Formats: sequence, C-alpha cells, structure tokens
Amino acid sequence: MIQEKSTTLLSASDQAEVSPRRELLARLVRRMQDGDGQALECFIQETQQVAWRLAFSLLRDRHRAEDCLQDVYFSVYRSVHQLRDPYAAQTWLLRIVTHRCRRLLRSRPAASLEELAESGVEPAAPDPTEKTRERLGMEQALARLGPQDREVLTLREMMQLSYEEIAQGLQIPLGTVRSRLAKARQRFVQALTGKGREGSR
Amino acid sequence: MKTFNVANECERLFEALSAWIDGEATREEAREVQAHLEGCAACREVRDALCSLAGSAPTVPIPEVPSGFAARTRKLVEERSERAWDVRAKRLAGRLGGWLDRLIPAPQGLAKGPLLALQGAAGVLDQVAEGLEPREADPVSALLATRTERSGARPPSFWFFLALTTYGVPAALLALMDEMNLAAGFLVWVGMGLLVALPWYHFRMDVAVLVSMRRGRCLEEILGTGLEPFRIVDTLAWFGLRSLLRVGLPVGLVLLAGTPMASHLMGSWWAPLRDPLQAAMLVPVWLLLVGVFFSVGSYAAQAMVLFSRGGERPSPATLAVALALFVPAASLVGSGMGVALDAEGPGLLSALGWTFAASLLWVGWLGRRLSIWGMGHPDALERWNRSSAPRRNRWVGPWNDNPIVVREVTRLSAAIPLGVLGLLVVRAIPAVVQAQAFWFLCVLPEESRTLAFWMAVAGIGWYAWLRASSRTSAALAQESEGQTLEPLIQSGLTRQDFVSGWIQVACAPLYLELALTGGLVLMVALSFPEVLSGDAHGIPRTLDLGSAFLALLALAAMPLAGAWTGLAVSAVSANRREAWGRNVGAAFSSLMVWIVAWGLSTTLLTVLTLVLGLEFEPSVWVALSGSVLPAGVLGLTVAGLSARARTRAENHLRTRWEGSDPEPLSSPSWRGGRRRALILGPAALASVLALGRFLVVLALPVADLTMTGASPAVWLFSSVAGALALAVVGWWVLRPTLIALADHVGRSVILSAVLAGLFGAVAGILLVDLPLMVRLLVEFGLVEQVGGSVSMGEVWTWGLVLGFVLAATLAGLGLQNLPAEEQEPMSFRARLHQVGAVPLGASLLFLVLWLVVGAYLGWRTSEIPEQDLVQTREILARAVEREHRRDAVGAEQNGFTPLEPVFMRRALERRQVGLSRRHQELLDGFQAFSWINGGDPQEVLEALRANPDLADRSATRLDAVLPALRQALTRPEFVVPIRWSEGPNGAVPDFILARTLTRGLATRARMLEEEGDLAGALELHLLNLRWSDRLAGHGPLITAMITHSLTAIAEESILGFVERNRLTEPELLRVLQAVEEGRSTPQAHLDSLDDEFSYAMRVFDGIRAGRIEELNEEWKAMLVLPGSYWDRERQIYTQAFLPGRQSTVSGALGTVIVQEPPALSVASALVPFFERANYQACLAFSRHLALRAVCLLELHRLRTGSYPATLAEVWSPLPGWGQAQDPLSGGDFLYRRTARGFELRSLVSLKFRPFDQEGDRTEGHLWFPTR
Repeated sequence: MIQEKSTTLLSASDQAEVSPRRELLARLVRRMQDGDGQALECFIQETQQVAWRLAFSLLRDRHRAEDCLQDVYFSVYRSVHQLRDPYAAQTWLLRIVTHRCRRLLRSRPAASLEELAESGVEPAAPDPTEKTRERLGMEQALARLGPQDREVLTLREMMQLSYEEIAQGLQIPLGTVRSRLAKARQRFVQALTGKGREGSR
Repeated sequence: MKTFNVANECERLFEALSAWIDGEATREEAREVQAHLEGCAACREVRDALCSLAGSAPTVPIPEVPSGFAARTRKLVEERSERAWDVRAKRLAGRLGGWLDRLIPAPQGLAKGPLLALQGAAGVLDQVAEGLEPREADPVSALLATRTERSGARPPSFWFFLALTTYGVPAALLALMDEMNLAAGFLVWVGMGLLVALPWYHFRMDVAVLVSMRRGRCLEEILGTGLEPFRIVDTLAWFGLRSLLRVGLPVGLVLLAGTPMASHLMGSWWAPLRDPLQAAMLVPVWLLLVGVFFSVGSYAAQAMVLFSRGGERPSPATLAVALALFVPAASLVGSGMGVALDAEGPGLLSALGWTFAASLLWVGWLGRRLSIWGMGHPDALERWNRSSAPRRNRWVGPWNDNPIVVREVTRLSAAIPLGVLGLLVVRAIPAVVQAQAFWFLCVLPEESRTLAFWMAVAGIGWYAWLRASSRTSAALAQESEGQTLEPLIQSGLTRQDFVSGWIQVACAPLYLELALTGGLVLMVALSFPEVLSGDAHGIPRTLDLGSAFLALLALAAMPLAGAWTGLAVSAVSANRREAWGRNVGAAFSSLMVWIVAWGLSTTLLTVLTLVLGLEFEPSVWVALSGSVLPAGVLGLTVAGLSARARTRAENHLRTRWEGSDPEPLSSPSWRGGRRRALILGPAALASVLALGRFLVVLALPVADLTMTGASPAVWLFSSVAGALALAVVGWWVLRPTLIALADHVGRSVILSAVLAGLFGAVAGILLVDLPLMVRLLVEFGLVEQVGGSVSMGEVWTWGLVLGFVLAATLAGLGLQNLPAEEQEPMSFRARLHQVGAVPLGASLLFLVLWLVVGAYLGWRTSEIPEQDLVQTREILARAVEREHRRDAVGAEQNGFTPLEPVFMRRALERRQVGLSRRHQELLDGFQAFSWINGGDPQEVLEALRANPDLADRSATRLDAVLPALRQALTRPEFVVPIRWSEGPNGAVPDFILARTLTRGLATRARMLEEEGDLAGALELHLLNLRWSDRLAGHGPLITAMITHSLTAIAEESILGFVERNRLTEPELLRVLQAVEEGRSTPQAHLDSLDDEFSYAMRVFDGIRAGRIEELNEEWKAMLVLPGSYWDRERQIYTQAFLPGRQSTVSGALGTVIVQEPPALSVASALVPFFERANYQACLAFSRHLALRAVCLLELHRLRTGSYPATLAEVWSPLPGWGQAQDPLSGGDFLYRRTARGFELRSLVSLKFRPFDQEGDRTEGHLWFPTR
C-alpha cells in the first residue's frame, strides 16, 4: 500500500519516462519564465481543457469558471519563475485551480442543480417524473453529508471525473480518493436508508 | 462469531467494491469482490444501491471551453500585468537602474580594461579580439539578463537606496545629534565593509545564476546556438563585471560621503586620507582593482560550475583551481589597497600586492582556459542532462543523509563552499560594525550600558527567533504546497531525521551568522583588550563570565525556539501566506505571554512585599521576578493548554498530510482519564517544585541570610529544584509539538518525549539557574570572577528568554481555538483572536495590575524625608532659575556680537558649513590664537618672536577683540556661558575659545612686561582676571573645572607678575580689589561658585545620606548630556567621593560595603579630580588666596619695610580678612620668612584615595615665591 502510494505521489520529473505532453509543457514553462507571451497562449491552449473541466466541476458555473481560470492564468504568469520543476507544470496549475475554486466557493457556494438548470446547463437526469421522489431523497441525503464527502461524491457521480482527475483536483493521493469515496458512499447509503449497512447485516 | 466475521469481511471489501463499481479496481480486487458478492446478499444490496445512485444521480455534462479563451486570457493577463504594482515596481527599478548605468560613462570600456590587461599579460592575445567583441542582442546576454531578474538579483537602484536608507539615514541622524565623529566613523566602517562584502555577494550571485541556468537547461540552449565557447565564457565574465560596476557606484557614493569626514578621524595613522581629494581618488582605484578581481572570480565561478557535475563533488583539480583563484584574488584587493594607500612608496605591502597581481593574472587565464575547455567538452551536454536529476549534495557532510537538509542547503547557497565564503565575508564586516557598536555601548554609563547590552542580546535573539520561525514555516508550507512533502514522508525518514532536518535548515544559517559575529567580536575584543576591560578609558568592566555565558546561550536558544514555533505554525497552516500570518500572531502572542509572566510575578512579589512588610535584597527580587514565578505560572498555563493543542495539531496533520483516516496517531492509552492524570501530575509537580524554590528564596531574607552568605547546599537545592520544575514544564510544552510533528513519520512517542524532556531540562538549568550556578562556581573558587556580578539586566533578559522559549512553543502551536478546516488567510483581528486572545486578555489584565501596583510602590518608595525633599527642590529651583536668567540674556545684550570672532569657530564647527572669506580671515587669526594655546608662556613668547608673521596676526586679532571685551565687561550682565558640546577629538569648543582669549591676554601682558610697560601689563592682567571671572559653566562639575582652570591661568600669570616686579601700593591695592571683587573668603568663594559647585555639595550630602539614585534621576531630568560626560560625572561622585565603597552599587549578588565618606569639605574632595582634568585647576583655590596673601605681604613690606614673621601679623586693608586659610588643607598656609624674601606653601594633604588607585596623590603641592 505504502509502496503504491509513494509511486503515485512522486513528482512528475522523478518518473523515469517523460511524456511528450509533459515535455512540451516544460518547454513552454521555460519560455514563459523568460517572459514569452506567445508561450503563455500556447500553454493556455494546451492546458485549458483539463483546467476548465476541474474548475467547472467544482464551481458549476460557466462564468465563474471562466473568471476563475483567468485569475489562475494570471497567477501562473506572474509566479511562473518560482516553479522549480517545469515538468510538474500541470499538477501545479491544477493545484492553483483548486485553491482558487475553494476560495471562490467559500465566498459563495456552488450552484445547486436547479440553479445549474437555470444557467442553461441541463442536468441529464434519466427520467424526472419517475425518479422525482428518489431524487429528492438523494438530494437530502447528499445535503446531510460533510463537505469533504459531498465534494468527492459530486466530482465522481455527477461530474464523472476519473479517480486520477479527482486526485489532482483535490490534491490528495489516488489511494485517498479511493478510500474517501468509499467512506462517502458508505455514509451516503447510511443517510439514504436511515440505517445504512448496519441494516443490511 | 460468524456474523462478526462476515461483517468484517464486508467492511474490508467495501473500498474495493466502491472502486470496482467505478471500474477502478485492480484485477485481484475485482476477482475478490465478485467472489464475495456471489455469497453475500447484503453486499449485493449495497451494490445495487450504489449502482442505482450512479444511475439516478443527475450527471452534469461539462460544457466546452469557451471559444477564443486562450487568446482572450493571454490579452487579459498581459493587461493585468501592466497594472500590477509589482510589475510596475520592477519597471521603475529598471528605469532607475538605467539611470545609474548612464552615470557610468562607459561600462563596457571599463569592463574591457581589466580583461584586456588580464589576457594581454597572460599571453593569450589570440583570443582577445573575438572574445571581447560585444555584440548587440547577444542571446547569451539576453538570457543572462532574464535569468538575473528571475533569480532575484537586485537592480543597482536597489543597492543605492539600500545604502542610502540603511547607512545614510543613521549617519544623518547621528550628524543631527551633533555626533559628527560617530557619524563619520559609521559611514567609514560601513563603506569599507561594503567595499569588501558586495563583490563577494555578487560573485555568489553570479554562481547562483550559472547554476540556475544549468538546472533550467538553458546552457543546453546556449550551446545549441552555435556560439563559440570562448565567447560564451567571456560574456559571462563581462556580465559579472558589469553587475559589479553597477553595485560599485552606490558603494563609492557611500565611501565618498564618509571619506572626507574620516580624514578627521583617521588623519593620524591613515596618511592619504588626510586629504579628502586624495581619499576620494581611492574610489576609482578600488573599482579598478575589484574589477580585475571580479572578472577573474567570474571565470573561477564558471570553472567551478561547469566542472561540478550535477551537484557532485568537483574534482580535486577543480577545487585546487578554485582555491588558487580565491586566495590571491582576495590578497590582491587588500594589497592593492595597500599600494594605493602607502604614501611612503613601495613597501612590503606593495611588493606583495604586485606579486599577487601577477599570480592572479596567470590564474585568471587558467580559469578562462578551463571554462572554455569545459564549455566545449564533448560530454558537456550529456553531463548537463544527467545533472538535471535531483541528487544529493555531498558537500554538506554529515547532513548528507537527510534530503531536506541537503536540498535546503543546496538551495540556500548555489555552491556551498563559495556560499560559505561569501557568507563569511558578507557577515564579517557587519560583525565588525556590531563590535564597534558594542564599543559605543561601553561609552554609556554603567547602568544603561548593561541594560543596552542585554537589550541588544534580546534584540538579536528576537530577530533570530522570528527568522527561524518564519523560515521554517514558510519552507514547510512550500513543501506542502508543492506536494513534495508526501514523497519526503514516504522516503523512510525517521522522525528525528525529519524534525532535526527542519531545525537544522532553520537554525544552521543563523548559527553560522551568530558564530561568525561572535568570533569577530571576540577577535576585536582580543585585539583591543580595552574594549572589554574598559580600563583605558576609565570605564569599568561590564562583561563578566556569567554575562558572556548567558549571552551565548540566549543567542543559541532563541533560533531553536523559533524553529519549533515555525514547525508548529506550518503544521496547522494551509499555505505560506497563512503561515506568515500565523507567525505574526505567534510573535504577538509570545510577547504577550512574556508580559503575563513577568507582570504576574512582579505583581505577586510586590503584593507580598507590601503585605509582609519585607525588605528584599535586590538579588532576591531578581531571582523571584526573573525566574521562579514565570516558570511556575507558565508551567501551569502551558500544561493546561498543551493537551488541546496536541490533539488539534494531530488532527490537522492527519487530514492534511496523510489525506486519509489512518489509525489514530496516539494510542488509546493517551486518552481519557489517564491523559488528564498525565497532564495534571507533572503540572502539579512543576508548581510544587516552583513553589518550593520560591519559598527557599523567600526564606533567605527572613532567615537573615544574604545571597552570598547562603550555604552552597541552599544554592544547589534551589537550582536543582528550579531546573527540575522547568524540565517537567518543558517536557510538557515541547512534547505535543514533537509528537505532532514526528508522528507522521514514525510511532516512537517515547523517543520524542525523551528529547523534549532533555531539552526542557537543559533549558531549565541554563535559562533559570545559570546566573546562580556561575555564582556558585565563583563561590567554590572553581572559576575566577572577572568582573562584577550578575546584574538585574541579565536576569531580566533571562526572564525574557524564558518567556520567549516557552511562549514561542505555546503560541506557535497557536491552537487554542483552531477551526477544523482553515485554509483562507484570516483577518488580522481574527488571527489575533485565534492565536492570542487568551494571553492577550490575561496579559492586559496583569499589565494593568502591574502598573497599578508599581505606581503604588513607586509612591511608597518616594516618601523620602520631607526636609531633604524641600532642600533638594530649592536647590533645583535655584539652579533652574539661574539657568533661565542666563539664557534670558540675549547675545546682543550680552555683548556677544562684538566678540563674534571669539565664537566664530565654535559656530563653524558645529554647523559644518563652508567658510566665507571674512570668516576665513577671522579663522586664520584665531588659528594663531589656538596655536599659542598650549605650552609654557615663556616658550610661546619665544615662538612668537621666531615667527613674526604669526605674532602679527595674533596681535591684530587680539587688538580687534580687546575694545569689545573692555566694553562688554562694563556690563554686569555679561556672562560667557561655557556650554558642553563635543568638538573634534572630544574637545569642548567653548572652552578652547575662552582659553585662547585668556592665554592671549596673558601672553600679551607678558610681552608688555618685557617691553617695560608695567602699567599696561598690569592692566591686561586685571582685565584677564575679570574676564575669567565672567566665565560660567553650564552643566555640573566638569564645566566648573574648566572655568576654574581658566581663572587659574589668569591668576597664575598675575602671580608671576607680582613675583617678578615690585609693585606700588596703589597697584597692589588694585590687584587686591580685583581679587576681592569675585571672592572675599574661602566660604564666600564657595558660595559664589556657580550652580555646579553648590549643587555638587548637595549631591555630596545626598550620597552620604544614601540617596544617590534619586539624585541621579533628578540630574538626568535636568541635564541633557552626552553619555561619555555623564559617565565621567558619575565616577566623580561614586568613586572619588566614596573611595571605600565597592564598585558594584547595583549588582545583584555583589557584597556591598558602604563606608562613611571622609569628612572633608566639598572643595577638597573635588580638587583631586580637578587635577586629573586639568592640572592648573588643581591649585585654583590656593592660587587665588595665595595671590591675596602675597599682595598683603607686599603691602606689609611697603608699610613696615620687611615681611612679617608670621601670617597673623599681616595688616588687612579689607574687612573679613583674618588668617590666610588654605582651602585645600583646611588649615593655614605654611609661611616662612627667609633671608631673601618669604616662602608660602599650600599643602594638599588628601586623606582618601582618588579614583585612580595607582596614582600618587598624597604629596602636597608647593607654591613659593621667593625674593
């Protein structure tokens, strides 16, 4: 377990193989460190997809996500010379995104699903009429969970992020994602059924 | 049982099941889960529930990234960068830098000079042409510029403003305080320091830039550009040289400002500096020399960097080259300066200098060759590729096994040997300046000096605490942000490795600095023993053995405490910003806790004193307030709080660093009642022990034991008890921190507890009881006591240090009220509330209490006898009134305007302004006056004859002054105040001027006498006497001495006149009248003395009544005097007046023997001191009276034809004249009629030892005119 964790947590540059994408990002970072504006644009293009996905997942608001990312890239540009390991650029970027999102969420929590619908993004629920009661119960159960559980469940169940994406977004090891998700589900089931697994024993 | 097993299995497999649903389980897990599901209905239900959750949960599709996002964002970012203040500041700095660059006429040309000389002399002209051709838009230069900016190299404007603010402002302040000597000395010290330190610093920066280029693989890119290796090498060297020149300019400015003033100071031994112009010329010479040095150094740096393969040890050859480069390079600067400064011609210094210069040139060439070879080496690329992988730096020696330390140290200085060398030099010069500052401290009076010394120690300690704490917390938080903490934790470090690594990281540089500072201070002290002994300046020794130990330990303990705090702070901080905020909070909090402890102890002690009506020895006060009570109070407080603190720290560490819920960090045995018992037990023990020690110390005065009289057993007991108490307290204070910080890397609680306990014990012994232990050692004769004893200030400082160490840990944990999830930087108010609410409130409470009780106590102790108070007030009122009256007489009214030339020079020296032509003329005239100032009158006369020109000028000036002086003397309000001010070389300008006039008058009278104009000579003598009577010293004793020494000059000259010439009766009567105008009898003389004597008499009485401290306070309130003068004044009263009294008036543990001062008159007590200050003043009184006696004897002879047989026979034409009493001996003058005339003797018989105990002061002084 510990072995697995340690390999997961090793920083990018320590891994023996360096992917072409990482190599590209590292080159861009070095050019940004020398004050190249064009490199910044390329860097944004290369990384915007993953950053956007994370920001939107956490914020659930298109406009806030865009504002957030602009702030993030400004921070990146201003402090890029502090980055010692250019190969860790993506991890670094996602970390900044998470920090920024958390700060934003502290001032105003993320939109609920209803608000999300109003903002133009349609939640793709299977069948509203059939599942209304069940869905309401789920919403209530979800509301009863702690913020940490809710966060990880939202990212996995609603945003359909992979474990690795969640790990990067929340800055936690992959193993922790697994255990945290399991615990969250356990508590979710307990909240949903009122008795949880004790009842199933 | 079966059910339990099944549930346990389900529990175990739930995580795998969860992952399996998401398709993230491993193959083995999937198999296991599937197998389990087949046999477990409960889990199938769970699976279905979860699947339905996944199926029914509303999934949110993530929209596409808005189109044109990248371009839009780039534009926005660039716009915002334009607006950002830091970017703008950088740009402004760049503009200033450009301005400074333009000030250097041709940087490239200047840079080329040394390079050309270097290479030309080395015989490598073949490469000069290409190598030095600077090109526009050189890619290497551009890269270097960027890299320099990124690596934090400062623009020249930064250095300029740094020099201006750091050194210019204090110097200006000193100058404003009329302390020109100090200001000049300060500037010169700093200027010279910068001259040496900054090149080193920049050299280090050069290395750092190179290393960062290598790490960032920029060197590969450079090589890829196809530039020739030699060109790259030279560009790098040129870069270093250019940056040096930019730095050199502000440094040169500092030096330029300081040098002319320095010529005043150092003129005696530093010949070239006598001429400011010549001194200013040294700056470019220095720049040139350092330019050579720096370019060679840059080649050396390149060679070092290129040959150190990825942080591995460089080859022995490289090291040898580096060493060979540095030693002669440094010597070149020194000896080159020697050459420039040696006005005598080429001496040993210059020979050495040129030898080293030649060797340097050769070595520089070698360095360049090596660099080029390294640059063009076929393996270079390969090596750099390999070096990009992080490796351990073996230069750090025993720390090698700890990756934290290795990385931090590597990061700290780009190359360790060079970094350490640079650090040495950068720190060495400030240390010398610090030593100088300590020396200045020695000039202060003893009490304020001790206090100032300990304040300085506490200040440095506080700085070290802050720096260590901020450094640790920032570094740890950075690791945490960079997600490099987890690999570190997983790397198999043991807990002590981890914690000790961080402490080393935080403390090692500080300790290095402190050690260097200490070493240099020691070196200075050894070189100039009088700095410490102070004997050369009549300054008593203040630094004794105990003080030295204490200072050292204080400085050692503070960084450690800071590092602990930093670790604790970072453990609960989400990021660097928050860690910084928490550090601020911790700093406040620790201050507050200290105030609590101190306030509480003092308050309790005061209350006890009042309630029990006890009178404590100072030493008891000190011991109680300084150690026992703070220890007890803090022990209880901290023990109570540490439990919660530990729990919270553990929770935070668990969630933040491990990211999951592992098994609890502390075993269940630590919980519940057992934990409470463990907390309360030691706390109770600590308090009992503290109380026991408190009682022991309390019993000392009750049992009529003095501290020195107490048996060693009592000492030992109290020390050990206190140490134990603190050990326990310390264990409880530090243990939670240790556990919290170490638990994520291991589980050995016992080890950390033992460590903390040890630390606590050592700290306890050292912090609380070292003063006592030192004293004990002295008592046993194991250590020789060098100086005074442990003083109040020391123990105060120890209270301070103790408070810091304990409070730092407590406050650094800052965990009284931590919320569970806190990552956002808090507002200041919230932070203060969170970290320091409890100590803040409590401290305020106790502060108020303390103030109230202190005020009450102060009111109580101020109840001195009413009679004394009234008397003292009257004296003060009279003195103040006289002072006001004197000041009310304006310069015009006083007749000062006609006497302007007399005071011109004083004003000039004070204001330091340029001279107009008229002023210059006046000054020339008075330089002639000054010239005749010293020496025997006969010698002056001869010299004046030998130098007619000077005599003429002197005469002209005196003639110009005489009418004005005569007119001024007709005004009764004409008083010439002699004010204290420090002129060059410690002289008092007022005094010099007045003496010049007195001497001038005496000399002129002597000249007239030789010309035969006896009437004119007598006229001038009488004028001189009247003039000297009008001098009035402002300030106590010393100015009185001065004015009386001037009177003595006048009286001595007129005495000589009477001795040499037979005067007529009217003339003698005129002399007598002039004498009597001022003083008729010895008692009247005393009465007519200025405030100073009158006041001194009261002071003397005050001393006898044991009220010297109060009088001191009154003095300080009344007189604003420089410290050196104040110190001297104190000596007069405490040592000359009380010769039997030992010097430790306020020492905590010293034996104080108070002897009754000798019952002599004030005048006779003052006279021996007079002699030390001015020989002539010694006999002022006796001369005065002797003059009168001689006149009367002459009158007697004129009337009766012969001298009387005894003095009693002398006829007195004036009322009040009885026997001619000698004020010095208190008896008669010794008079003897001889065959040729008479002999009059004043016998000074001093019955007490003067302050310099070696002096031979018991012989009488003789005065005898014979006929």
